[in-house]
Amino acid sequence: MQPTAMTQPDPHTMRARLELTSTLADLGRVAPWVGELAAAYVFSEDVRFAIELCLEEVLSNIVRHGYAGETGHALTVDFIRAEGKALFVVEDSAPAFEPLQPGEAVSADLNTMTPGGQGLRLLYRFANSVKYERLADGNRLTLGFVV
Amino acid sequence: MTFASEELEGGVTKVILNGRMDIEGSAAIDLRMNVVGGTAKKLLVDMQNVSFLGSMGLRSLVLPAQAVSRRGGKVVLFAPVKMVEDVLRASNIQAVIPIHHDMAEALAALA
Repeated sequence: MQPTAMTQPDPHTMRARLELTSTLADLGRVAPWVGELAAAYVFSEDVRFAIELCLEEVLSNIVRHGYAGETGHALTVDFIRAEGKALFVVEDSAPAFEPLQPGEAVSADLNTMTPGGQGLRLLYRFANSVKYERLADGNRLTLGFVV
Repeated sequence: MTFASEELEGGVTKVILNGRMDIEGSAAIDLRMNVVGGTAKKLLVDMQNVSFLGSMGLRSLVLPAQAVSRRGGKVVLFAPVKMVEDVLRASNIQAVIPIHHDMAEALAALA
């Protein structure tokens, strides 16, 4: 298993990094990290909620589908405080996967609706920008939030 | 994430959720939610103390609601906070599981 690490928010560079391994349990470290950033950079509660939601959806998707539940793979989340916004750059070394924007949710009947599969819909609803890049050996997703 | 339940008049089962319905929180309540879903006929899910809801949490709501509905029962969601309700509405959950902020209206919807 890869070592996990977290850098504290740096007020000078306005950057921070969270290193994770590919287990759902390790994703429990994301919300406290976002909480530290929210306190350091004064995000509203709604923005903090949106960031936590989008990161949980993206990272759990990588762990469960990108790495197919295999442990020992690395994921990184880089935070960059830019003018008027917060960027979160998620990188993995999983097979290529571009998270395209899904259509509107249509559920006419509770009994026939799919219980899951809402992650991408929530991502595009709560992030202000979503940018995908295919890397030589993985994927990079940059999420932007107006702060 | 905590789970509590109580029986109200009229055969209504009230489930009170408290905490974050993230991956960890949803896993913590899934079993009890499914048990309630397998037995309740009129289910009111009190969400006013749920501070976070992700797609795994949505699944924890929809699966027991489907179990209740398949037996001819009804489910309502009560008093989610704004951002949690935004998640529910982004997923169009309110179209199949009504959301109420007034308890009398919630109970009337189950009658």
